[in-house]
Amino acid sequence: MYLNILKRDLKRKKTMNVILLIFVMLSAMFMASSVNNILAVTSGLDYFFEKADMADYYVIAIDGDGKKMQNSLDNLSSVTDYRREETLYGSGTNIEVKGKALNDMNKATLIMSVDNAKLNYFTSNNEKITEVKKGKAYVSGTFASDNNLSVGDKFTLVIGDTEKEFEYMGRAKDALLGSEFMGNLRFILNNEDYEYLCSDKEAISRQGGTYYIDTTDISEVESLIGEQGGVLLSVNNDTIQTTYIVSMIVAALLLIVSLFLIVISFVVLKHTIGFTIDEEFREIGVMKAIGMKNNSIRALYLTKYFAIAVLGSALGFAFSMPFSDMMLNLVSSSMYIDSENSVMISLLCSLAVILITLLFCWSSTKKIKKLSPIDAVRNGTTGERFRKKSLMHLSKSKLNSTAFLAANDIVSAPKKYSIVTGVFAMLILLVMILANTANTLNSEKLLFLFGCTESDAYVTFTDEVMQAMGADVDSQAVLNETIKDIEKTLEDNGMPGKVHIESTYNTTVLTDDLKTSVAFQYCPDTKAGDYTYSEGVAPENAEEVALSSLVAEKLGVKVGDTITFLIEGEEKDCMVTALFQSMNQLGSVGRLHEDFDVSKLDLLNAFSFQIDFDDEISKAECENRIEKLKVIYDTELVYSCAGFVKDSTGAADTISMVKNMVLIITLLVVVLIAVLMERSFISAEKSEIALMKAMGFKNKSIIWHHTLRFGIVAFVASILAAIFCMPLTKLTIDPVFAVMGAVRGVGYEIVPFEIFLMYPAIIVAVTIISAFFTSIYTNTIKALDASNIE
Amino acid sequence: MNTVLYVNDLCKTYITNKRQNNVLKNVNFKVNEGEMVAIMGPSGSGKSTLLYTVSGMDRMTAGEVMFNGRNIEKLSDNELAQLRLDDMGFIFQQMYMLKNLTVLDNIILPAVKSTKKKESRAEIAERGLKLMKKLGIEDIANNDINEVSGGQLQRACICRSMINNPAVIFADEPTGALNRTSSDEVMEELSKLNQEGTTIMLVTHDAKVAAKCSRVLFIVDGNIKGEYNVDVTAALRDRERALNNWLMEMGF
Repeated sequence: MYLNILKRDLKRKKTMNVILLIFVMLSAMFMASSVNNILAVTSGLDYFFEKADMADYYVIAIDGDGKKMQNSLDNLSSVTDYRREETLYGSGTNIEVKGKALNDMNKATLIMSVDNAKLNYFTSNNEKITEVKKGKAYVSGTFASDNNLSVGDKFTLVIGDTEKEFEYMGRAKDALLGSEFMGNLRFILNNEDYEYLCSDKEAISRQGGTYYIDTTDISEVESLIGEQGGVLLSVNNDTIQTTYIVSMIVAALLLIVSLFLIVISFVVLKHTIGFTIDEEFREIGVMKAIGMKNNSIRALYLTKYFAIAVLGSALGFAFSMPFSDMMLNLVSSSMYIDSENSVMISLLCSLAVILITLLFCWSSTKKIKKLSPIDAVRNGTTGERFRKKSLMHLSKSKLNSTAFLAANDIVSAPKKYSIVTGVFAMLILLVMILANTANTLNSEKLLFLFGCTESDAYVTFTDEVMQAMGADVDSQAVLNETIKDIEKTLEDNGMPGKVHIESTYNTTVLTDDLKTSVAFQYCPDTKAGDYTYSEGVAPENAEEVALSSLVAEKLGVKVGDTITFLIEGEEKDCMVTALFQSMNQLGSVGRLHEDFDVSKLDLLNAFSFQIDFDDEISKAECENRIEKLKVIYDTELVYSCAGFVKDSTGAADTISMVKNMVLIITLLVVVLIAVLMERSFISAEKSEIALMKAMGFKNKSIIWHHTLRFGIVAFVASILAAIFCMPLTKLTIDPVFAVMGAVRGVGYEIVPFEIFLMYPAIIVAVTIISAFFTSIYTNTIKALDASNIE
Repeated sequence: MNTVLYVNDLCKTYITNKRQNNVLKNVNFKVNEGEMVAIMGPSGSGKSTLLYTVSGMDRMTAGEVMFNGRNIEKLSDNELAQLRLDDMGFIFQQMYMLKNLTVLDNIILPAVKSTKKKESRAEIAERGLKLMKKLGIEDIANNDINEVSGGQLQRACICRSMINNPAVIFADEPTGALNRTSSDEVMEELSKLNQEGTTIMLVTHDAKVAAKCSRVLFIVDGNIKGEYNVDVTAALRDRERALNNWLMEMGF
């Protein structure tokens, strides 16, 4: 008998059963893909480093054949193993794309043979690169996207008088240099091509090695490297992990999106199960009336929902694979993401959805026990109920009948509509939160993480900075010359202003236990108090310094302790007065007071020349002047404050991409929920629709009535989302920015038009359109149906 | 007396599973203003189909139905909806009402929707209350529909059907779901309305209900087999007896 009842039910209540099936499928799909994503991104970096065979410490040095470095490492007892990858160093000037050298590219470039690889590199399909054909090359980093290159496109590498054209084979996943934040390019070539480039006489001065060092004592290795020459980068594994900040931010956002989707899908599933079971009360009453026991009735529904849950979960399982891949692609462009167990995880999630569906069903049918047969019949689809619901009165309302009916429906069924409102609010919030993140990453709010003051424009002159870095050069004097030149150019072009530049000097620092090299930021034209500190007070004289938390940890000092500078054999004590967070030098940096004598220190690098125009100008005028400067200096490397942060983090575009993808997913979910909810409402309200038509309501009127309900719900959801936007952004995104160093939170860049108008308007519009087209289905319900409704 | 409903050679055919089912076959009759006409007949004879087809709730297959001089077949769906709203009232066997509205709001909803009269919301509500008072249910005006009895609800449905002063009230088994007491009360109200000039056309199985009408159309297999004019001057019991005799003659 069960089977017969079940078969007839599945056939007769096709619409509601199909809607339920789709929601089960969505739940399974979102849960399986989300859990996969969460597991993949949380273990992602460790897995990638393990697959890539990373070490404990890394050094990149222009050291010729590397004999000196290798001897030192051989003699260091704490070094258990090391590998050296022979490398040629270059810069943008050594790369030509479409006949033009990449002079604006201020990133160091490594060229190597696949045969010399001492790290595992992977293709975009996560296949290990073991062979590169002659004339072809894999390139790590964002080389292709920065230069609009596709697989198969050509580019040329030039070393001295030797040049060779290569075909781009795809992005290489490079654990050491592949993160967006590192930004260095690594060209992986065939050995013959590499040898050909090395044959140029200029190659001798560009040869060096990348060292992968396994050690039991990192500080010992750091001390050793501090004594070596030609070191471009020396960094430990933890620091390299922090360079995956962009991927980690994306992963964290993906995690938030996944959690939202899981919550939404289960809220909707629970609501739909409760809703469909409520629709069955009349039949439940009849079954009770003929003597069926409560448990038998519940078992019948469990059987039905089990059948739907199994089918829905199976479909969800199938769809979760491409959906999960689509989301993970955002993170896995630079990382090897583990998805080996995804099938098993998806299967387990699908089984969990079956179980959860049955639990929801069991809980929704709990009230069967409490109802007498007649209660159940009366509480069914007759529309009768046992508590007062009419809060609004047509006789007193000023709304027209359609608007009144829509509003009244909502206030009369608060639970039903609050769930829909809550779901829409969550979806809108998701987009708002991501937009706030993207806008903040694209604004001056994060400037403090780069140890710079706010200026009107930032100009990068790589050559001038390189000149200041030469040996036996008075770096500040050279930089001051450039500053004067820029100020003169500004004056000549009718936009006078002051120019300054942040420089980074390398020096040796001694503590009780350690002697190591530390980079310090310095600017004679600003005050140490102009910068943001997370602890302590700004240095007030040349005998005081501030350190990034990472350096303080490395040196084992805290605020109030003293560190000793070793400058040309002379020791100078300085007190640590403050700690700060920084993304410069991978977070490993200090700040010197403006009166500190840097003349005997080695300039490591300098940032952009910062311009503060003398006159008060509008944002638009500032943009105009930036464009003018680009023409004057024939470079694209002139930024506004926000542009400087955007360029420095390298995350804004990726986050914008994530935001856009989440917006698309959100809109799809909005469409699905609006369509399925409205379709289920139509099914439940068939008798009322028919009655209204019998009374003389036109189709148009009923369509607007139904559409308006969703419009109101989406509008209220937008308001709720706007109210909770800031607290939830802080709650979810503060930890993300904390990873970037902003441990005390950041002031978010809120773009009111975008956040409070554009996105809510898009979602409200999509909801209304979806509900409108779905409600056209009410046209199939005729006035005549009022006469034969069950 | 004006003819409000003129039905000429009305046919209605349903196609079910490729089988043609002729439910109404060349039905002819007319209803004059102020009449109360009952349609009787065995189950499946086409009573309700006739009611819904002549009221424009369902489309006819062939024939002609003139409602107040307008050929309803030539009206669009929207025009038909407007006609139902302004000039027709409906009472169903089940007391259908919108569950989220109070009894009064259900009653006045068609008037709020209608553009026939320019009235304020308060005036409409007052008219609704007057109708309720007339039918003796004014005390349930602000009740939810679950808080009232079936008889009260059906009387509220009558009020709703009356709110726009329709030319005709169409009622499909208006007492079918009620007990005898409630049924008598509802029919009493319908009779009163008719006596006040409202034209009513109703479908019923119940001779006692039909005896309160002025005319009875007896339909069998989609054809009007007979027509009986009730002697409205006779006592109700006599009318009922005479009607029953006639129905027996017709084979009911």
